Amino acid sequence: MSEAVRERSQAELVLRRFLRHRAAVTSLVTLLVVTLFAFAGPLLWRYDYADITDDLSQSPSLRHPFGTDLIGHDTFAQVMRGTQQSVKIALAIALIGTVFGALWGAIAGLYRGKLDFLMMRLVDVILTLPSIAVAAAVAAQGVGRSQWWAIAFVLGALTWPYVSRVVRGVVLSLREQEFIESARALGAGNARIILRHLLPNALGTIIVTATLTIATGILGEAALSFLGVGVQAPDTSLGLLVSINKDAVNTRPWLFYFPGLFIILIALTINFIGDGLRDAFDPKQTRVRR
Amino acid sequence: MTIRRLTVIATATLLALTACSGSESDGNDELLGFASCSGSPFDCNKGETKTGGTLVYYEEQDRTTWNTVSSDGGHYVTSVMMRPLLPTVYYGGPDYKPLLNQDLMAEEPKLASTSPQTVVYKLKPEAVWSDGTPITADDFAYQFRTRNTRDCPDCASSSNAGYDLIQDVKGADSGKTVTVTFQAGKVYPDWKGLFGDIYPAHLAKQNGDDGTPAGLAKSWEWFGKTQPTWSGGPFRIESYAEAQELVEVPNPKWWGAKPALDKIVFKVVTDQSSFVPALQNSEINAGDPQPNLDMVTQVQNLPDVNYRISGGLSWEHIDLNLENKFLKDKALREAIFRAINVQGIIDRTVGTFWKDAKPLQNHNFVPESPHYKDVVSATGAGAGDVEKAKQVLTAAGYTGVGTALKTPAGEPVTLRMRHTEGNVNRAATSELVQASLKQLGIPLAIQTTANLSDTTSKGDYDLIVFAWVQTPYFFSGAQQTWGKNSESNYGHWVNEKADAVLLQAIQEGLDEAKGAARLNEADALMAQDYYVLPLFQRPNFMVAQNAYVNIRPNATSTGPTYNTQEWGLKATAN
Amino acid sequence: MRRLLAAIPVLIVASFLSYALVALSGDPLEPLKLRNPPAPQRTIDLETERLGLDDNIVVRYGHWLGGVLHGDFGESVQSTYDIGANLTRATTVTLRLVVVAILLALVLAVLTGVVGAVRQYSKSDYALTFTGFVFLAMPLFWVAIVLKDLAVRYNKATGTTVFFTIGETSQGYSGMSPGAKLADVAGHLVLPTLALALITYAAWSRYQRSAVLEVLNSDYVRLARAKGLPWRKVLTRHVLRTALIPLVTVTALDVAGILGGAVITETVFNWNGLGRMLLTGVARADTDAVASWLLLAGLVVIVCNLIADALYAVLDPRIRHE
Repeated sequence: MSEAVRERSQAELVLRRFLRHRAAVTSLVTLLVVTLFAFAGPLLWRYDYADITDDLSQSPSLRHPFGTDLIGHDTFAQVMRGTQQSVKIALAIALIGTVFGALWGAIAGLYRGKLDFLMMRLVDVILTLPSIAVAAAVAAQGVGRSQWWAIAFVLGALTWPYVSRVVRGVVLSLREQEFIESARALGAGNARIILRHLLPNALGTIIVTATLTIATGILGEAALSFLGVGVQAPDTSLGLLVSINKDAVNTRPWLFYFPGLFIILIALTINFIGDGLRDAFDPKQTRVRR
Repeated sequence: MTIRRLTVIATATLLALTACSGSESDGNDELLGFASCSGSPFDCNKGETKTGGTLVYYEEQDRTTWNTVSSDGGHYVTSVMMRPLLPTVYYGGPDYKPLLNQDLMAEEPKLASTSPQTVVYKLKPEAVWSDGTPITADDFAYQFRTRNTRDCPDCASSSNAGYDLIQDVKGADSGKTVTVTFQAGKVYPDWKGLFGDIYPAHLAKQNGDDGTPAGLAKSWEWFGKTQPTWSGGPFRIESYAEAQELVEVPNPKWWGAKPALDKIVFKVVTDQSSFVPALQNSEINAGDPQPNLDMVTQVQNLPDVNYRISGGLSWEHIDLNLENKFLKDKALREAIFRAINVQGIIDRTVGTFWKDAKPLQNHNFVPESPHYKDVVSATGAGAGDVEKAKQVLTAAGYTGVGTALKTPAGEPVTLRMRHTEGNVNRAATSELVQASLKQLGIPLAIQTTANLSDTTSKGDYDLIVFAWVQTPYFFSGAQQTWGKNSESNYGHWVNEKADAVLLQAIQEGLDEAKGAARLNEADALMAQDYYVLPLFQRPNFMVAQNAYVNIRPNATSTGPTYNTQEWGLKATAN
Repeated sequence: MRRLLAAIPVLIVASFLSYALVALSGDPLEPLKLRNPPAPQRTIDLETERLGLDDNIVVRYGHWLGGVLHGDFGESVQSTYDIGANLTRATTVTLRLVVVAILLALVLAVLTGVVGAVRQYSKSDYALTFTGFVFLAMPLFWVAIVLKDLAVRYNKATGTTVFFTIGETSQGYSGMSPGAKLADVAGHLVLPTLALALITYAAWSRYQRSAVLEVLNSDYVRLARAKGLPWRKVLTRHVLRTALIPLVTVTALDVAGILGGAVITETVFNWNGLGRMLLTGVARADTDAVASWLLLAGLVVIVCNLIADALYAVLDPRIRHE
């Protein structure tokens, strides 16, 4: 049998559609480069982020491509470390938010009725509160908040309701379909139905939402740092770098703009990737596009 | 005062002639601008004023209460804003010493007796509250009754230091002579700090004070919650918008020289980075914000602005926790302090914008004080001499010096340093200490704290960097911070000999010079124990547009508003 | 309506959680305890009693909630601070910022969304999409700071004060004429609202674009066009009206986010609104103030959702309330 006749798998289709989205592909490559820079860069670069050099507040040069700060930290190394931490936090937020949110949404959607009602009202309430305000209030008091995972946990706890709402919507339409009924007829329990049937079929939606959550996470971390309740020195993050240097925008602009540009670069590429994934997973939307 | 002023002017002129520095100085008049402030703190930026004008003064926070000495008080910004209203016997002066309020007092208060300690105050006959009621001994007595915690247990006072030792407050000459007698056997050398912010007793009577503790508490609370319509100083309050601005206008009943300004506005701007743009836009005219490199750089580039950075009364220091099993050993403490390079820390923090910053070498006095004495450098602490530190460790039997330090018993040494989160200077300090200790082979973990009082009082640290604030009244502060049973002696340093000298200092403190010498003696003993390493004074940054004269830096807790009646727009003679 | 009623008990649970979190871990008396010269122990005892710090958390919460129901928002750490009065005052300030920013963002979103959809895959569509994505990727405070810096540079270069960077009104505002007041408020509004709107509109513009596309591809629009209705009329009468419905929902959902954004914008531009109130409360570990704040924010968002539901019915006659 020739290849053309073979039925193309779903994944292949998605991949093909994704590769057609030029902005998304460019973004993916850029993001990979940035991630490589953040995680492999420190191994190659001559300064560690914690190194204290004798060059204080110097503007960018060959020696210090992004300049140095007050104490003599090399901003290039700091931006690498900051990117690393920010990406780590954002991924953790997305992981916590997606796993919990998807399960929550799937359970609510599958059971419906009273349970669904209660679960979704809780979601409503969390969505009701300005998450940055809640995060600031909670994180300001939290113990061990200088830990990156503590920040990820707080922001993740405020992210999952978004995911659960989306997933529930998908599950509501899926549960009426034949393959769920047949699975049930074969004696599958609810847990099995959720894990083996509902979630895999909602995977497209979940992946897209998770991707966009990463971008929100990066920005959320930055906002918390700005309010002074994010990552704490001597560790660093992109948000912390920008916010401690906000007074320097006029006098030592390199300290403010370089980390800021990295935040934008990461969030921008992730959003484009999310856009590409959405198009790839949702052929209906693609038809509208064509 | 007049004689001192003359000598001050003379020295200032000399200074200006010999060292004609300070680019911000006008040039025509060597006293204009802040350049001469170090030589003549009372007369820099002195000039003829013209009548009228508004000055907008920058504050980083809003006031917290109308009762500056209540539990909500003890707050710098609140004191600065209320200063023009409140009669005060002694200010903290620009020279860091107690400064007599000559508008209020007819003469320098006299220490009439030392046993029991008795002080006699003579008030000016013409001194009145804005409703015409004279300012008298009653007002002093009200302050005493509300703050000694015996007569009014429910008056939450910011501090009862000194008031708890007073026996009674008596008036004579229709209240214009006040005699304050202390309890027998009690000595309070910081008596000049008493009767700082005096509130009107006759208004207290109208608003609750009926002589009972409950009545006193009611009036006390009334002062805290009620926007004053009264004043006992050159200005009174015209209007107030919470968290935005406090507007003050001249008090028509003010008996002293008439204020030149029509209006002083205290504008609350909580975002530090707004200071320079606002100054540029003339949305504010003066202020004393917490400086940082970027702010100072930008202010330096502004035309028509006077500025000065000088040492403040807050000072940063590194404390060791003597309860820690490693830090119990003096040899380790000595090595740590010797390895830390205080000048290096300064160069990368406050030194970047304050060129005169120097390591502080005393725990009780700032260099501006006449009692300042270097007790630290003889111990080698803060010198950054890593080699010497290593020798100390080796001599004490430590192994792994410079690689992975182990106690003579073979236990690896690890320590933890804490600082307040969000404080850039302290974060830098911790990082630099970390780098120094690494050279000794000690891994130092850095951990921030969001609750400094909790961390210090529980002793939840091995090393910690924070600040103490000094006042011109230094005896009780010293006792409070270094006394062996004091709660504020967080690291639990005990040295019986030093403690005895400390007590002796207070007993002899009515003779200031003698008491201060004793304090330094006790301090030298403490320095030899390598307990607290002083780092540097926090800089005080005073900025004012040069259109205004007679406004000048005052780094004490009194702040620059001690002489608002003299502030004004420069007379346009030239 | 049923949803609203259901939200109330859950809101109470959420407010208990936030109350407990703030109350349990911070010590509001820290500044008092750290003071030098130290505050008398008696003062610390009095404050502990006033704030009820010795009571357990459930009692404290019950006390606070009971007060709130009677219009008393509790005791602030700063005894002279009236939480209720400050909430009212701060809300009026912040509402100005939020409402103008939402309107501005809506206008931007509809314009760019419609242009993007009508000129799908044109250069302008790509440019608008890309710009939108860039704004979507920017941290709000970063945009605000850059805008502020640009404004100060502009003021300096031209020697004028067109843009104000501090506060919501100028010094001496109360003495101004009505016209001058308006101009003054506007001058202070421009930068903060612009910052907030730029961050917000981008996501809405995406929704608007796809909604318009969907309507454009719908049968009834094709029919209307086939009937020979003028393009402009089709666009305003049929396309826009229908395509606004999803935007209304999204706007209502995003109100919480915008309130959060206002906290940040207010900080950068020194507004004395809800943002400062929250951050001061957080910094002081002022449990009653923070809890009251969050409760109010929750109520505002619920009200916005109700308004959105009502608008929904107006825009789409097919939808009627159950």
